[in-house]
Amino acid sequence: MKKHQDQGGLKPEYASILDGFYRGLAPSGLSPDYRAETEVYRRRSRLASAGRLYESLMSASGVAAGPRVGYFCNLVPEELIRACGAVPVRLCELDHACARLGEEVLPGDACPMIKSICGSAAAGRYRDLDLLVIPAACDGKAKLSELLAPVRPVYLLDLPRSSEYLRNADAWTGRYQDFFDFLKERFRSRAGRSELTAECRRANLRTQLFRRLYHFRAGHPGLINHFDYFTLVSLSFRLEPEAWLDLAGEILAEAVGRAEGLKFDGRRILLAGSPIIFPAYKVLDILYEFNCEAVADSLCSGYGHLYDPVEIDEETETGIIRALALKYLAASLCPCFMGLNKLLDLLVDTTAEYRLDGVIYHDLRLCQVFDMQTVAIRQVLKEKRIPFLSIKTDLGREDTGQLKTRIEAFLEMLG
Amino acid sequence: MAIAGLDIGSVATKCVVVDDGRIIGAALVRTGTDTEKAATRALADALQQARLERAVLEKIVSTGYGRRQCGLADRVITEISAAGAGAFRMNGRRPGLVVDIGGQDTKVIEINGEGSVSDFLMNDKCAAGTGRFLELMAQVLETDMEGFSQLARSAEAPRRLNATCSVFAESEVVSLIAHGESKTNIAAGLFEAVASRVAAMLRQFQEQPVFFCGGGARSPALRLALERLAGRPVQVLDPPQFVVAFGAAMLPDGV
Repeated sequence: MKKHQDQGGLKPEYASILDGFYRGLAPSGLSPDYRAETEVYRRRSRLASAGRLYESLMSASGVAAGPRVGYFCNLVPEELIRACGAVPVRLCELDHACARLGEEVLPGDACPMIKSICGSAAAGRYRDLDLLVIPAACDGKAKLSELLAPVRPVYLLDLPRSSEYLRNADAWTGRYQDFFDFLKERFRSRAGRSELTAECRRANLRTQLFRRLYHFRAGHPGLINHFDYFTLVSLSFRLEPEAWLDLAGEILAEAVGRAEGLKFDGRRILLAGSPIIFPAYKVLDILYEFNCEAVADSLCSGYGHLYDPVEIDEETETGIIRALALKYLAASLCPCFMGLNKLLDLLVDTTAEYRLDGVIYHDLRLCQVFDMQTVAIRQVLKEKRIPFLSIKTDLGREDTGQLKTRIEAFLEMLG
Repeated sequence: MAIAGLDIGSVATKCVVVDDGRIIGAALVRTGTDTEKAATRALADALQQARLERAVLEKIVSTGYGRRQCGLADRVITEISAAGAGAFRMNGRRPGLVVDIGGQDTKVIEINGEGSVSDFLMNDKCAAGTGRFLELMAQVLETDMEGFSQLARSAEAPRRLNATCSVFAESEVVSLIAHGESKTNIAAGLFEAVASRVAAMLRQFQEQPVFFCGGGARSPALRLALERLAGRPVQVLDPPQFVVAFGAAMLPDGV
């Protein structure tokens, strides 16, 4: 089992030197306070049940007890972690203050999310977790597996970066199986087929409700607005599936009850590109100001996190793990994986299905692989006569004026 | 009745008074730090030239980066829609691509046969490739924009510059001068650097006629560099700095 721990580790001597450096960066810690933002978005919501939604951001209820496994990226199967009796917490974050602290460890032009994570780690925000799981989905995350090693034990989930699943399904299944074996030993679990089946069922219930909510939003824009939606998905990063179902079910039920006769005179767009996670809602704020709703998306912090079910063909442990590999990897829209065909199909098909007004591509500056796709997407969508706007931004607010000009002009162009 | 179009840019505020589709008054002032003051002055100057009182104006439409910081306007539109509308009406109502090089933005706007914007591209946050970049480089070469353009036109072999950032470009220029490179070749190289960025933006669109406006279009050297690098004629709209303000005044209601 030692080989796994070595995968993302640092020698104790080096780890301790780096740990000392981190502790000196933020000796009094760093605990971002989002009460003001929470209040703003709660007031913008048109639903009474959103009160509980935004309160949940500030509270620890709905989170299970047990050893906590922090993970990054939506390529880590929560089902495997839960089956072993541990509690998965997705730690992907976009916090400006943490990212600034992260710049004391990483270069300023590193990816904003990696900087934010590194800042949080240096500030001691991960010290109460039992394990960190980092998929080598991109170079930044792979490097994090070494830089976070001084903070907590790290498991590096190394995955081949091609989404041609016929060729890679065996390799992915093997990596997930290794990870599952590691978790079982680490948390002294004897989990197998029946625990895995149960966890897949829980996750699929969440997916079912999510799909209903997703389709509802496209047909009834603005009722569950894009802030409510992305907040709901952000909450699924840490809530138990049942707690999430309870919250999302209440929101959807209220919205369905009020949907009749609802009019929306704004624009409906699909948001593609880099993730949007509470409280980094700058682009959503601007869209809202111009009465434009992001009613569909292709983000790993939205559609990509909850839309795909686990589809089990063969009810053996290996069969289930293989089904998980297909759910997480074959369906991934991450530009680090070769999934541009899937992304383009999704943009073209969804825009037609929901008769959307266009696509806005959110490019968090410096995550270069997102930007590397921009020209290809722009050219294909132009040929298909789908209005397209690409915006480059970061976590700061100083470019709000420039972003407004681009978005407002795009909306004027739509007529 | 006359309409005023106010284009409040990052460097200059432009105002035109339009009557029956014709510009009867135009004024340009530095924007400075007080947007409201610059807008008021530009409007007063343009009205004076048009020999009109403000009270007779049917409406005032503002555009540009300061479009919302001006209390004078009855209507606000973005400079992208305004540039498209202005260019279409100044180029004989032809579809094509409008290149607008302003103080802090460089845009390529595609206009269709009806004169509506059908697509656009803008440079990102960075100032390289904008009018402000060229102004800074003129300072480094110890000349003004006109002298800068003249320098470039007598170049023998434009000097290729490597830096893409304004700050680094400045030190690169200084070091080239120190190493004996002629100012003419450096000037030509700087215009080529800006033009090549714009040419790359143009290549994102299907080939069609190119119209040039904004402060940058006042520089013949930049137009020539752009023609060379884009491989097609570039028509400067006249007067280039007032295209956007004119478009704002000419846009029918409801964009």
